[in-house]
Amino acid sequence: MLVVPEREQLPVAEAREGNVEAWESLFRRYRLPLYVYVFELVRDEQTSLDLVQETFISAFRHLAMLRDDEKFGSWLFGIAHQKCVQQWRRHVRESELQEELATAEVVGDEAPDELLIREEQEAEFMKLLAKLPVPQRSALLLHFVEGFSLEEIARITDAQVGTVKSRLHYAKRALRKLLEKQAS
Amino acid sequence: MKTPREILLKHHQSVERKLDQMWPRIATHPGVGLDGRASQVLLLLWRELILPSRRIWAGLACVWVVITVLNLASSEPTTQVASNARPPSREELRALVEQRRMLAQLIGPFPESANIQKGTSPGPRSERAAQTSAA
Repeated sequence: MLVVPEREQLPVAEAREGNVEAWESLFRRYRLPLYVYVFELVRDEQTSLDLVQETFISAFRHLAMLRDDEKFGSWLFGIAHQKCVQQWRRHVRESELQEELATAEVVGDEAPDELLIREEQEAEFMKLLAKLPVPQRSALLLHFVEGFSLEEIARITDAQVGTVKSRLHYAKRALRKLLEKQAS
Repeated sequence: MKTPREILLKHHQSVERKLDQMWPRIATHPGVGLDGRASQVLLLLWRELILPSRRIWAGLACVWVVITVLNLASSEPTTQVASNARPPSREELRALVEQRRMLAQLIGPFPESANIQKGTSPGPRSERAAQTSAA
């Protein structure tokens, strides 16, 4: 079962009015999940901290442009994702960004949120996550960390819903293989 | 047994202190709402005034672009008009001089500037009567 905070009432409107406490509340709510997402993509602590800071600054600066307050979370992760892409473009070979995945529609879903991991498998889980191709890792993280829907992940990563579904399927399959191997 | 989310958050929990230290830097960053009220006002105007009727604004902008293009396309530049005007030929000048000579023979010689001025502002009736009797 995926334990993700419910879509709570976020003080986005108050933050837009310039309420400092509301801003801080938003920062505290998202700072760690955002860091997890960014770190697992760029794999460097200092760069991740910088990107998280840049993301919040950018978000607070352009908060007035957000039309639907309920989409604050996916909007924020979208900004972070763009920052990561810019970072890759600066430092990583372009080829690493290319996904070599079949984009065929995946029929049936094994619900990756049903994954439960034993304590002795935690380290392996983290290792495997790091080995996944960036697009799969990104989709899986967004699903695991914030429980975003396929549509939200597609919007954040600027991809088609079918592609996101495919990425999640392959990532989940790889995870399951590992966990089964560990169990046996 | 833990969920992936729990594992991920726990794995990175040690960085929370560094993330907390980040807040004052974000809050005091120039351009962020806490400091930049002016930019917030502009953004608010953008959100309240432009965004709700962005299609109307875009339509107006298109209309203005079309008007500008049509205006530019229909107007002939002054330099082009000047360059099109060629100097009068010798024959034309000769014909003009001949025409003026014949006119002078018909109505008599007249001092050009004085006559023009008089023509524009006729004097009182009494003066005009004196002129005609003298003629």
